[in-house]
Amino acid sequence: MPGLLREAATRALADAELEWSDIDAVVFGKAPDLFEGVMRPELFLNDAMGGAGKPMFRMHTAGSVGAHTAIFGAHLIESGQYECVLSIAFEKQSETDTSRILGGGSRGGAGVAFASSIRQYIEKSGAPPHIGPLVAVKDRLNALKNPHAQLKIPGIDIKMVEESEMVVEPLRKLECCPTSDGAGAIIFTSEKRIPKTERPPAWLHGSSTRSEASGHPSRSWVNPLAGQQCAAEAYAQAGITNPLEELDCAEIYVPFSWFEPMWLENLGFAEEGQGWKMVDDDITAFDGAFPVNASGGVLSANAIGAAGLIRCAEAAMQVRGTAGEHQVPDVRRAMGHAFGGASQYFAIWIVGSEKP
Amino acid sequence: MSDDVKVLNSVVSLDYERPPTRAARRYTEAVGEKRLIAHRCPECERLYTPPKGYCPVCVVLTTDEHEIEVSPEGVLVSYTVTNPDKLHQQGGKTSARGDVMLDGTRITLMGELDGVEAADVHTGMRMRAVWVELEDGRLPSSGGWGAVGIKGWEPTGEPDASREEVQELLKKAGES
Repeated sequence: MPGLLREAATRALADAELEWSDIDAVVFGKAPDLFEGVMRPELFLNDAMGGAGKPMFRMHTAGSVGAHTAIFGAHLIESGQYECVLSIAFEKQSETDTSRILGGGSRGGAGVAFASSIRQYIEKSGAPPHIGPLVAVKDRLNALKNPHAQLKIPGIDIKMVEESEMVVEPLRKLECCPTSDGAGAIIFTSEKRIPKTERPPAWLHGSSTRSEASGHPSRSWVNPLAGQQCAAEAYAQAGITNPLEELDCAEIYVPFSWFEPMWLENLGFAEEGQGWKMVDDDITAFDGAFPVNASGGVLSANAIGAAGLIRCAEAAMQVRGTAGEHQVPDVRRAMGHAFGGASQYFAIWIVGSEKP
Repeated sequence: MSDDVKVLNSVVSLDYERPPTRAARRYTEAVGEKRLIAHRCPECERLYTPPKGYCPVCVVLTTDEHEIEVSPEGVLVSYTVTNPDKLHQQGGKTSARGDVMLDGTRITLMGELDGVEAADVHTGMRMRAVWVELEDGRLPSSGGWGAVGIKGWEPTGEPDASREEVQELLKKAGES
């Protein structure tokens, strides 16, 4: 664990051409402690994160925690409290058996609940069955361009996905995220402390977080109200009225293929019941009009606690023009998004290449 | 998984008791009588089962006077068939689980589907609760995600709800 965090933090510092001593405070995020079986790991990991002697904060919002960790780091700058903050998040799923925890035993767990909400989406929207496999192929093709993607399947096609083992109907194995080890780090500075590197910074245009109770009896898992409100707030801050037109690409938390069309609707990129058509028309493909998950997304690496922060970082890399082979051309504004828990925590940010 | 990776299963068990709230005690007693009770929020009229003793949306307390009985029958609005991973879920068997929307409510409860082959499960089926047996008047401990006091659902044998009716129910479920 310390090595994973140290590597992410060191690379972020190198990219910003900053030293540990430049960091005023550290924000740390990971999914529930039981995933590694280590209680409050931030206490012993603090020095590996460069946090010894510095203010350090821990975030907790299950699978969305990485995006909250990023956004809270930005808040610490926006508040004027600090000038330079490191947000860092990780998960090391090989450390213990998260399949047992998330699998839920004989009563079923996360996969079962999400598969069931996916069928609700299919029932409601009338989407044809090939949409899930299409998303899986698209993200897995994108992963081949990303050196940090972990699950790479050269030659991936629809047939391969449709012939993979059925895990939780209607999800086949290649439509599901892998278990991963990984970490990510982002450095935030105030305007007067912008690092003098050749690589430009990303500017934060808007950010929002929302939550809703899992036991709420009239809530929708298909189009959660908290997700809609989270997007609306982020758009309002960024001055966006037509997100599909005004954003150039998005990194959306899609742990199972069908969450792409569901979240396209939840985030206002498509009308309710129409998200699957954007997938079917290749609009979200790498060379489509609105590329989604050019990095390969969560389907290609799901270090849970880090995954949301990595969505935010990937959006930032796109507007900075530093995404390498999976760089989408001419990105001016991009979204990073994550959700967590029983589809109940949401975090979204919008970053741009220009100062807002 | 390659031969040089060893999986060590070290499952620990922790038993604990917690005193039930009044709402939880009345819910458990009702389960013992194969009845399902809920609290109706006096402000927003949302139904909670099991009752919480408050409405988290309106932040108001609910008590016995808000208690009503709801039907333990409903329509299967979604389902999945799980194929447990042989490595991580030893002893797991292929099974169907689904969401049942209780009649006359917007409550969907998840549970294992009993008395129907996984291959024959379809949305629109009319289902009724299969109750958990109380142990010494208490609910046995349970893990995973699902309803409390209800083991699962079995078909009533009544005619199915139509596809349009299922879509209507799902639309109703999402209205806040």
